[in-house]
Amino acid sequence: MTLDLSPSGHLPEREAEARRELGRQVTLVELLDRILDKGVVISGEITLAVADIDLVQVGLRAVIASIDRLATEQVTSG
Amino acid sequence: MLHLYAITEPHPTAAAAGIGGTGIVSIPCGRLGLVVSEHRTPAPDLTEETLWHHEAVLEQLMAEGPVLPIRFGVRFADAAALCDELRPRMASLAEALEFVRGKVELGVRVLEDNEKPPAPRRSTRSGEGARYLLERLDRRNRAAAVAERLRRNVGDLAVGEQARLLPGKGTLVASAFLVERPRVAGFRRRVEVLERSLDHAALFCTGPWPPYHFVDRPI
Repeated sequence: MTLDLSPSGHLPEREAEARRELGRQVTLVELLDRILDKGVVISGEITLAVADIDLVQVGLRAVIASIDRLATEQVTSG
Repeated sequence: MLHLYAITEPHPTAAAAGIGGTGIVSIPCGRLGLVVSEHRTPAPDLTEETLWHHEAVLEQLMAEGPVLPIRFGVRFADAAALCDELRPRMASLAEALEFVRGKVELGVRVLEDNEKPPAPRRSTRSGEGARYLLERLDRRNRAAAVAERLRRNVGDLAVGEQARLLPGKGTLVASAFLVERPRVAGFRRRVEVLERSLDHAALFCTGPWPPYHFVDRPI
């Protein structure tokens, strides 16, 4: 998976690093968004239980929270 | 148990190891190929590493031909049971495979830029409740405007689009575009140019992804 971060090319190094980290978090959110909520739906003999998915969604919320935190840090470091 | 990754055309795959280092095989099922790996455990571990491993297999398959990604977490006891489950949908799945041939999905996520927040709407007559509702309305209008601008800027390079407004905290828009491979670089350039002209928002373009958002029906 590649992430297009070229707008950071003209940023100061510290700001560019913050954007790269934010980009990594965004990519993870984009993956979770797709792999657990999109794609062909098939009822398998074993399909992940809703409780398991909820655990991942907890993780997803944590990631989104960290995006907010990183965005704030980007402001303070800028 | 067979862990199912994707539906492809019925051809052998050179995809490397699947989840847990298991071998990847493609099982023919009529006009479809079912890409699986064999496991002893009935359910996959739900870790970030496992999810990325599943995704990595799909990205290798994309290099071999059209791919319909399966939502994570489906396992069958044997190939016959899996093929039986898909048989009634074979025609529509084959049609969906044809639709995504030569195309990839790109994601564009628009985050609110805390560095340059938009000016809040002021009203001396508003109470707390009214102010809250006005702010929510402002945010939704801002998300809709950004989504429309994104569509105007890159829509002609895509053959399909799905957009969600305000899908989560800090995110104005999460869009998925289905793009023909030769147009990917041009699409990214347009997103870069758009970001430079946007106030109060940061854009991230991710992908190419398998066509997760476009497996059900032609757009």
